[in-house]
Amino acid sequence: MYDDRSDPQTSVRLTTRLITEDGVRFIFGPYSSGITNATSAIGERYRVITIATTANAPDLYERGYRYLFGTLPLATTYLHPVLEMAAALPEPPEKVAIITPENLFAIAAAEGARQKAEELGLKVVYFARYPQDTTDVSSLLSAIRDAGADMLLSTGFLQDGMLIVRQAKELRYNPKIMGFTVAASIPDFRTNLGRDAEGIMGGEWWAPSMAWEDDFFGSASQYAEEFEQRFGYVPTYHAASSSIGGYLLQLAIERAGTLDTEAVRRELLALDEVTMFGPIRFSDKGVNEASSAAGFQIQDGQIVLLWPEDISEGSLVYPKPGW
Amino acid sequence: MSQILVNGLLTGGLYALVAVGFSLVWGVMNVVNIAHASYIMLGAYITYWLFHLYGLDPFLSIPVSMAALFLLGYAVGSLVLNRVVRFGLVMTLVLTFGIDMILQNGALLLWSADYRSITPAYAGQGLAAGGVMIPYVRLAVFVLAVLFVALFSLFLSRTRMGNAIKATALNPFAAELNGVRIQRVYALTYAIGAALAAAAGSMVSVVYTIHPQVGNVFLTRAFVITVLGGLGSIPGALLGGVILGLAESLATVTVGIGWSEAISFTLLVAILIVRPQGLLGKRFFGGVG
Amino acid sequence: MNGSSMGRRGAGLILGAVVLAALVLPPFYLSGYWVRVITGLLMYGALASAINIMVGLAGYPALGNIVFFGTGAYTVAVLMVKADTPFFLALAVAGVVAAVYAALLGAAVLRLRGAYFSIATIGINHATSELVTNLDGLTGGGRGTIVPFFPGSIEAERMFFYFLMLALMLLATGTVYLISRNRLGYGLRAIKADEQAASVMGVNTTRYKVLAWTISAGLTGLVGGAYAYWLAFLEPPYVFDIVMSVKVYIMAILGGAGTVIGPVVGAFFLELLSELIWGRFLEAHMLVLGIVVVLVVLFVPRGFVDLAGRLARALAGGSASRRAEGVRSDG
Repeated sequence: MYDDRSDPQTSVRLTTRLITEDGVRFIFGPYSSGITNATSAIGERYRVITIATTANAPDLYERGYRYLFGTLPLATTYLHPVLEMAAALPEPPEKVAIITPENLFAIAAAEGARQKAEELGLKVVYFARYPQDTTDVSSLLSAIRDAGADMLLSTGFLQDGMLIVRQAKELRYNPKIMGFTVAASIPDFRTNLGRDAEGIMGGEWWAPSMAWEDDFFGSASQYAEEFEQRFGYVPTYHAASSSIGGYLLQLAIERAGTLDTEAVRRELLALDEVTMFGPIRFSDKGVNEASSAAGFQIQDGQIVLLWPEDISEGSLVYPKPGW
Repeated sequence: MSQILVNGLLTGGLYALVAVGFSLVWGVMNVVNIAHASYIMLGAYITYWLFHLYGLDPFLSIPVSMAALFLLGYAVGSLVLNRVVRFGLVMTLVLTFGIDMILQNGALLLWSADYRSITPAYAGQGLAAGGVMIPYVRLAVFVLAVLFVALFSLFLSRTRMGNAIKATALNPFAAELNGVRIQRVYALTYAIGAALAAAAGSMVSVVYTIHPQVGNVFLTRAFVITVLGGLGSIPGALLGGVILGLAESLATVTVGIGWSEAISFTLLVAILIVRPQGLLGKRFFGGVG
Repeated sequence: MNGSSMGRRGAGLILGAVVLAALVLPPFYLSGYWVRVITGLLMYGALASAINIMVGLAGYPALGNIVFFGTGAYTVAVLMVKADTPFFLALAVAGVVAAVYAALLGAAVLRLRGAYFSIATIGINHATSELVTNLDGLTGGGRGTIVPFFPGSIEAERMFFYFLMLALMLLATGTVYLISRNRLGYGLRAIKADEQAASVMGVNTTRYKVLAWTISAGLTGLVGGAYAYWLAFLEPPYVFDIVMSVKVYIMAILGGAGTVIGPVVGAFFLELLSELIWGRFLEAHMLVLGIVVVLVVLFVPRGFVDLAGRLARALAGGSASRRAEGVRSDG
């Protein structure tokens, strides 16, 4: 295990080191889709299986790679539950604005949301990509308000989410629905924003309260408890996805009865499991196609799962409370 | 539309404060101070920690962060920078780049890359005037930033030390002949630059989300503004800041936010070529060395 | 003097042969990881030599020279992805595109000097990066672009990129050598010493400067193009990276700006050091690198080659070394 400093040159070099110096045959991919793009190329060259547990931009899986497997569903589907919930309302929002930073994963999620919104008959009136290091979105939000959007979706990261909420509040911009991807599910989002985080919605790949379970980890909540005891914080999907990636690899190796890459690859492709992370089945492109994101809303500082309806833990507060 | 202009103006005031210390150090010492980014960041963290650990109001912590960074700036200026100033602009640029790496990565080790923010009770409150929202915090930041710039301008023209700095900027040799101790003036100028960065940083932490790299974005703004307004020119920094704030704001609603940076940097290069002394600048330090 | 210079020539030839062997042999004996590391060293050596033409010879601190690296990288990526261009053709075009870009910019930007020129180049790099990001139909924008794989075995690929980068480094260093010995080099040195005087003496300063930048940019563009094919995936922040640019600049200064071999020495030193630091201080890697930068500026501002020369003279007891004292090696 090496620290790649989130720099592609270093990542690629380390991946090569793992394979050619340390004789590694299976790799768990780095954080971020962009860097996984570069390292999985090395893995592919050397025929080493990469299990990407936090990289799910569709571009990664459209290259015809044989040795790349992703435990998450595609990023394009991240905001689908929020949009489905909105469309199912008796008085759904009319105009949707979608904004994303210039980043592989975030753009994928935003494009996926735009497509889904149009399928559901929600009108996308504003779509913008902004530079990754943007510190001020007040004018962007003013423009969105002027466009009359009553539903705002953002696929940025934690800092983007916090900035958008603060500046929307300053501008008294009160959309009926505000939905985020990774930002809203990270605990720091709620602790930093406090009451202002109330009513914000999001997509979530996994949460401890989900009803999934398997023989190895037990239920999702048992996994979360054990994790918290060991590491001192509540796991997010990042941790759970990584744990499950390890578990799946172990399963595949056991079933193959060998460390041979091709045999393990075949077993991975044949997997059809229900785990504490949810159902898992890899498509021939290596994407987990069995699972999908859930939708949630922040209520009283907690993440309350609301969608799909069969796992719903409460009822949606709509429109989102004003600032 | 008026909301867009207000946003731009409010941001522009903060930009001016961000740029003024950077412009001063460049104009007086002929040093392009990359570490300015870290000084902004440190100011922001000081305010953050004082708020979080002791509940000190972010605006009240401005003097503390200024004093702390003044001391740090004085130490760096007298112990490190003064030894290298004679090697010329490019060497000091590389040196301050190294200092910036040390401070930024030190902050990363100490405080992690977590994003942090300050939310005082009055955050998010504001004034509504004819459909235009003016948040109190941002208004206060704007007023304070402009006030700091004005006070600093008075300091330069009304005090002995200010005059020594100005004299050094005009002609270091002549100043030395008249009894000004150049090394001391340089260290002080650098310290003042750092203190002004800290003030800007404190305000950044009230308005935005902070992290160890938060200063970088503002450093690139400081570059543009300094070139726009002219080296060492205080009214120039104010004007440049407001122009840049408005330009970015307007670009967002016209050509799209994605293009706003490309535009400001093209503007930077164009101004360098067409009017290298800036809009209000008089002198040109562009000679080699 | 003459006799010793003959002897030096012989020693130089032997040294050259040893160096050549040291450069050619590694990929046949080392693991994939170390070949990759050394390929990286060669790449930085090439970049440092390319920037040396501007920084060392002409005295123009082209701090944002990485813009041509990015331009070259994206030229190769776009040509290979969108037009199925064979790599070497794409690479040649990348060199030309970067060179032409510099030539076009040069006439206007090279009127600036010192820090103004540096900042203009930084601005150009930033603006170009944003442009590439916004032309997402062509470049993939912020989601990046995937370059086709090298179509051979892993071993062949390893050899290919190693020798490609080696060739580029030799090309860049050889170019510096050639320039420093001909009219262009003399003109550039005159410009570096005193541009006005050079102009009065009849040196067409604009032409010389633009030519120098064009060559520097062309070389940098070639390296960028090779990098694109090597990494197989590009995002604008990876190849228009100002930190990388400053690193290359420091390599050139550290080794000795203006000397032929200095920048390569500087590149090897800093990259190897970086690799070692990284191994020892996982977390504090960048911090330690920052300290190295500061120490270099404080204690080796004229570079290793100068330092070695002064040490040699001091050991020989030569008092002539005093003469070199007041002379600065950069602008």
